[in-house]
Amino acid sequence: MTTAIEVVSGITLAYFLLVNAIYLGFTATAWRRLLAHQREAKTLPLDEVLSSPLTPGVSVLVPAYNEAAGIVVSVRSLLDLRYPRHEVVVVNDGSTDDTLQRLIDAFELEPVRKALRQDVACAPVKQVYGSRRYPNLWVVDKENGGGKADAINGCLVAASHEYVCAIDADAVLEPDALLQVARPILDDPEVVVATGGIVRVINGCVLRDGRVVEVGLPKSNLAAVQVLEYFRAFLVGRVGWSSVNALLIISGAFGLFRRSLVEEIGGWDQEMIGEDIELVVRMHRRMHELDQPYRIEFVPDPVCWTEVPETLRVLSRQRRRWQRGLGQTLWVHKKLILNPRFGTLGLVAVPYFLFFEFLSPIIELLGPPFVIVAFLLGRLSFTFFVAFLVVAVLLGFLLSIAALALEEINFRRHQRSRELARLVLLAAFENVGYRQINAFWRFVAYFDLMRGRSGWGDMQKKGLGVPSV
Amino acid sequence: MSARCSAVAEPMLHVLAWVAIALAVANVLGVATLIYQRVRIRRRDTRRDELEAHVTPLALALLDGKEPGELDAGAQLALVDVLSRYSRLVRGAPREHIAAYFAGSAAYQRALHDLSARKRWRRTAAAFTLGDMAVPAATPELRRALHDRDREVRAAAARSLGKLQDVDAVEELTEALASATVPRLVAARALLEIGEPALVELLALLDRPDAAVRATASELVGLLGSARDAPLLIEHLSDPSAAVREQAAIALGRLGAGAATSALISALDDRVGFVRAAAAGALGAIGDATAKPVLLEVARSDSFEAAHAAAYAVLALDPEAAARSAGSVHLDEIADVARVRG
Repeated sequence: MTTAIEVVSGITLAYFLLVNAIYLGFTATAWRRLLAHQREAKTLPLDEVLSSPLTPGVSVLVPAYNEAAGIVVSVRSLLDLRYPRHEVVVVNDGSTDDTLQRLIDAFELEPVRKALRQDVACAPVKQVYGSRRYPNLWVVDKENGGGKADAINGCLVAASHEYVCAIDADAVLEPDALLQVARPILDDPEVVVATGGIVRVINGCVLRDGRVVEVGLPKSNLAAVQVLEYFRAFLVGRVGWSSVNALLIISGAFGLFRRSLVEEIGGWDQEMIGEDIELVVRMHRRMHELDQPYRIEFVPDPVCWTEVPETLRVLSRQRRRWQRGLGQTLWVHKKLILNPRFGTLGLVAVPYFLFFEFLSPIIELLGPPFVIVAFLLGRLSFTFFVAFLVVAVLLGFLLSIAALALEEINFRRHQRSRELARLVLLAAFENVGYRQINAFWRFVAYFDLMRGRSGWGDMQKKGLGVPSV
Repeated sequence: MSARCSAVAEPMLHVLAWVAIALAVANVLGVATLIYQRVRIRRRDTRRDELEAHVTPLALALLDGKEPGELDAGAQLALVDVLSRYSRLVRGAPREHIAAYFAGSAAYQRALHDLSARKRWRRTAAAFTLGDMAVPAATPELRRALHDRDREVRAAAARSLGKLQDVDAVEELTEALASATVPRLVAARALLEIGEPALVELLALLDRPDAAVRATASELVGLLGSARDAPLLIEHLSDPSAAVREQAAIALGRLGAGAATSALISALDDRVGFVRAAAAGALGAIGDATAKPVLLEVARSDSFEAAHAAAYAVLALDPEAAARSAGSVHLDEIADVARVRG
């Protein structure tokens, strides 16, 4: 018994050391990359890209289900994006509210018999609408296919440009976001097959006409702590993975993809809960199988604002869904795990996501009790136990502060000093409680997976139509 | 048992204690850096805003040829920033006035000097800024920077040579495009800025062995050339590379080359769908009504991309006929589009 406890305690400690060493490595990489990026940002001639006839066209894909509250504002802001050649394709995915009618009224839509591609499957399309006023707007009214993947595929079959940008209907893109996220493609169109931008938290911001006009922190601490989480995930994690061309996640809220490749691999997979991560893994896999040089890049400037959950109930659903999506993707692509044929992807990125993301709740939840038992049984000295806890908390704090500093030095979106102070305080406290409850939700997701639960659950968002703070 | 526990834990404990101390110090330093950065950047931004407000009227006057007069070092730097931005938006006399101001400035000399800096980002920034300063005398240095060891520097130099419309750089820019030593789109944009003088070199690129180079060259000839260049492009409708055939067809459409109609109609039988689509689009852009029957046929019977492009070509050729057309989903679409868009 005591041997087992010692073994588990040892594994916990080793795991802790390894995962934090990786995080620190990522943080160091992100510092180097973002500081270089900041210097190079002054030499990005966006206006010249905007006016160039060589800039490729982009179809913006907007899957919408019961988005009546904000869909008109959202589509209008997408039509106004600064980009030389883009169209907006909205799918009304069997909404039960008046999403479609609001679009028809606002954009003077009329039914058209649009030719749709047949190479990507989606639920039956009932009608396509074109606009009298906006020749670059299409609205596809289709039956609900049971998930976001089916809805995006419904957009994809109507898209006409070489690149597609998938975004959430309730997300807000900054005016230059499309130009910025397309930049790696413009630099190297033969090699770059997909790019993703940063997703930021819109709760607490002031919105006007579908644009964020003032950045603020949410009042709720639960939402505010997610601001920090997003900094870490995007400014550290994605920058790090992108630097070794092993970026597995491009957020479903904002990603740009080469259309021909997406079609070749069959579009977004309707069976997948985490359709965004699965699509990117499939793209990696396909390009490796074709043995073609390629890159999938994260770009830190283009911003997509999105709403995060403000209640534990909704947040738990979101985190369980993310964990289920990751587990399902890893299972479907298990062939990649530790497979040298797939290079960094197979040997580093996928194993990392398996051991340090998907399986981490087991260690995070079960490890500490074993360490406590080891301490109670006298296998671990009290001083050692306390010192270990102190190191764990300080290290967690340091990683958050480093991410916060990256944001502060490079972007400074949160202008009010008291908000910065609040984020520092949250960084101190998130390691006690928030992190553990997150691990618990992700642990519960194992049982969801075993039960075959695949739904999204009700995400209850306020939407763009609701007056902002 | 406890003896073994303490024997194992003792050295570890020391390590942990030191790690904890180091982390505590790092955390304090991290928070202090955050506060310092916030204060420093806020002061810098406030100062920058004040200076910009001060120099903006001077910059606007300079565009009209009025000298800004004596400025302190901070204001001079702010003026450099403002003028660099304006320089991207103006042409003709205002740009010449900007060039005249920079030609004798310390900022210009510093940028020239920085082209040989050790740090890549300095060289990149200098190569980029020189394009905005608009001083033609900088072109020899920028042409040298086109051979820099770093791609970013080469790209910035290419962009600036385009902004300076340096005709002497055409050969090196086309070579940079062909060898992909700068991003193709960056080199292509620079050649587009230079305009018609780049055409001869671009036409020569059409004979290069690399298909990607021939395709880009075809695309640029379509943007810079004239109907005179159609025969060479028509030859490339039979190029072994589908990408080149596609770009040659698109280019012929952009040039509105009526002489290419029959060759483009033949290209509607190309074995590759996207080439047929490009040929159909080009026929629509040229506007020769004789192509309508064959385009209608393609719209009824070809694969998705080609049929779709053919249907829209019919819409471009004859909107009224398009509104009455039928016989395929693509023709149905253009009939409805013609109706909805009036």
